[in-house]
Amino acid sequence: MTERIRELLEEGLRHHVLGDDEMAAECFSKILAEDPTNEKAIRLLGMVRRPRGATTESQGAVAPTRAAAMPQRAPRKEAEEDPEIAAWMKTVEELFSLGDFSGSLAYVEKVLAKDPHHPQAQDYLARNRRTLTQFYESKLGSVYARPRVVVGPEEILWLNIDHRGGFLLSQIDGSLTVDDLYALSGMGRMETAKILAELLEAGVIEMT
Amino acid sequence: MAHEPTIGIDLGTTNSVVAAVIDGHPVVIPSRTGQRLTPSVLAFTPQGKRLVGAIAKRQAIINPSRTIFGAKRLIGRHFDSEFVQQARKYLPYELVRGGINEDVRVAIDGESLSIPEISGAVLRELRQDAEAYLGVPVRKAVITVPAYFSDSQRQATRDAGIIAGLEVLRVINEPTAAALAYGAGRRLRGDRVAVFDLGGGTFDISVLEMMEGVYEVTATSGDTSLGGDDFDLRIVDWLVDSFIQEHGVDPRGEKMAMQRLRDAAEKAKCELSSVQEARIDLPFLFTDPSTGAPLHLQRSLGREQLERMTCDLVEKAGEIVTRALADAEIDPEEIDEVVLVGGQTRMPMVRDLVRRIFGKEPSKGIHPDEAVALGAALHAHALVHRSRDLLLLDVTPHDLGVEIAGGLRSILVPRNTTVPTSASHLFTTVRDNQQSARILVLQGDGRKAEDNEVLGELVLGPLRQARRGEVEIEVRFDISADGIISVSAQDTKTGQEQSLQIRSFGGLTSEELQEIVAREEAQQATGAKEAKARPRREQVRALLEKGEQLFPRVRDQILQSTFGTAAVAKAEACLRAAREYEDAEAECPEAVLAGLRQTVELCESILMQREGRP
Repeated sequence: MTERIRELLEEGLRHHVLGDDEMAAECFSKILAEDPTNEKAIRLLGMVRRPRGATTESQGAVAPTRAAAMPQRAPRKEAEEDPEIAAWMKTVEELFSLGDFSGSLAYVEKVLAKDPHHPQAQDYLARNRRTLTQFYESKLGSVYARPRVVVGPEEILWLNIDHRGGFLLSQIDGSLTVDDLYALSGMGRMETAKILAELLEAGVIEMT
Repeated sequence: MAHEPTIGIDLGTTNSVVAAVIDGHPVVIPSRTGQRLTPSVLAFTPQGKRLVGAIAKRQAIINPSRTIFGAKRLIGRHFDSEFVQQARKYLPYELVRGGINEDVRVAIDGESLSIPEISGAVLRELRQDAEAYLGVPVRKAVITVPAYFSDSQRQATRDAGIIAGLEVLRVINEPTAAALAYGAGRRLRGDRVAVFDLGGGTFDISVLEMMEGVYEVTATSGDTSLGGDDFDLRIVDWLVDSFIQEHGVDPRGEKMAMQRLRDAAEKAKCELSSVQEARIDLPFLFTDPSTGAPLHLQRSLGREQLERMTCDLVEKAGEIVTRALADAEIDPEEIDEVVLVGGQTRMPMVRDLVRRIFGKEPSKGIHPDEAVALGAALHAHALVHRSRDLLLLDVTPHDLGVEIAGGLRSILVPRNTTVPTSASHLFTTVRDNQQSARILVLQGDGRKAEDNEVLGELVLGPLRQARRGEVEIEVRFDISADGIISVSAQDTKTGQEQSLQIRSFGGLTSEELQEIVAREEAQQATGAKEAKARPRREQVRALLEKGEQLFPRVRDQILQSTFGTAAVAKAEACLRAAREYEDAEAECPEAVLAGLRQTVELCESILMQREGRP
């Protein structure tokens, strides 16, 4: 995702949570003009064009196989809430209901960076992470499966991964299970599962 | 009657090895993952999972404060000892004072773990590997320790064995075990054997003489901070420097990168013992903080280059050997055999050093990583089978004596004395009308009393009125076959007597030890239950994923059937219940599992019908 698309996405979401769906739709349309296959923009455009209050259905690319339960909003006095946090929280809820858990998680993290004790954000954080972990794990199959690298060292150099992916890849030797990799990765379970799912999808590893 | 299986364990500072005698031959038992060496490392992940061995080592740099290595250096030591206070400065995990005996412990998540518990976890792993390999429960073991280990350190090692669920038949010296492995099938009576042990973290040189069922350690020296790890670190430094030179960024702040560099350095070092050049490829080692670009490391390391980097370490070992031989007044030419122990002795430069010092080829045909464990296994087997050929007699590891006037020490039982044994000596009062005599029982090899470990003291008194030298006190030491020392002091004229029994003390009280053993057993039982439940959870998870995916696609169709409403309600209840058990990571009851299975089968049959498949 380019920086411009990311900016347009954020701007569109900001308009949407402030109630200006027309401007939001314009932003998402601009994204689609540049990247007609951008799934996030397609989904969000569909959302802002639907009448408010209409039910949505989980259909995104990162949606897990089961519908995640919506966390209950904790009673919080509106007067106390920072307007920016309130806007972000609305986005968190919207994206969660759309099944865009990674998008929702990104906004949760923004909220928690500003208010680390925000109870509802913490609730969404846990639910997003759990849902995403289940999603990645469903791709991996059993946590007791043993991943094995199936590409040569020369091909590894062409992969699009960072040092965390590089580290995880270096630990995969066919003897360790996914569960073992969780233990030694030094990352959270969700992050490890995500990298492994990406490596599996890219055909870099296989499960035995 | 078939004998119970026995194992020999080399509980090393860096790596440990387990071996057993099978069909008359000592063999190393591989771990359940196929490795012959098990790193002596215990770790706790942030999620609280306990890792032992290779997997713990692989995350050591990433999780430094919760990864405990080198426990052998700390075992049987007091928190206030100078060694522990020095260790606190460089160890990444926290050391604390523990128990009523103020032994050193490790703090993890607000709880303190005794060192025998840590070593016990490694021993348990080895025992379980042996059980998996031999297919029978294993209880009896011989464990090795360095020749210089004190009684406390030996007792703490025994405690570690008990925590691991082992009956420790004997704790024997590492060089003795190595010599035993080397000597198996050879006639070594009267031979002098030098054991050159350069392991992962320590260097020891010992000279042994085989006499009447005892390998007597006649000289021993070493450096507890010289080992293979130092060689690895030299390679890591070189790799870091060349990475900085190439990319202009320092990877030292990134734990994942450092873990990979450390692993790669060790691998390259091992390769260079057999080839002239090793390749180090670490793709995606680091992400450039300013550009976000992935940075790779690709280097070749030659054997000569490694030798230049590490020649001072090898020379240091050489100096220690030369000094130890000179101190013991042993001419290198008097050594009949040199046995190499420890992985680092595979380095050709180290072998050259041994050749240079001793003027002979080091022994071949004995694996440096495995010799100690093989010797321990032979000894364990001999103990159970009462085989005289390989049965070593237990010896006192240090001199035992009492403090005498002038702060000196008088030896009653010299080290390497076979036990059981007894010895006595007559002492006299040093002052006129001396009121009492204080007998301070010492263990150690220092000439001055203060340089030895105090095992206990007893006071004989009030003494009869007499001039100095007139009251004769007989001090008697009795050491049982179990190593229990009894000391008595008696006025030879009046028969007035005081006595004291000294049990070796490893830091843990017997109550603490019992508590730990009970806790370990409970943990093992829980672990076994979880392992048994694992396949079932896997099955539930797979069925649930499938059910949650398929059910929404057929729900409306089921509703239209005769008993549709009830069937849908039942299926939804099953899916909901299974999800609750899954999310709570609890065991799913059989009834829910059966319902889940039925739901999935129903969904699949409807979909197959819909697709026109039979």
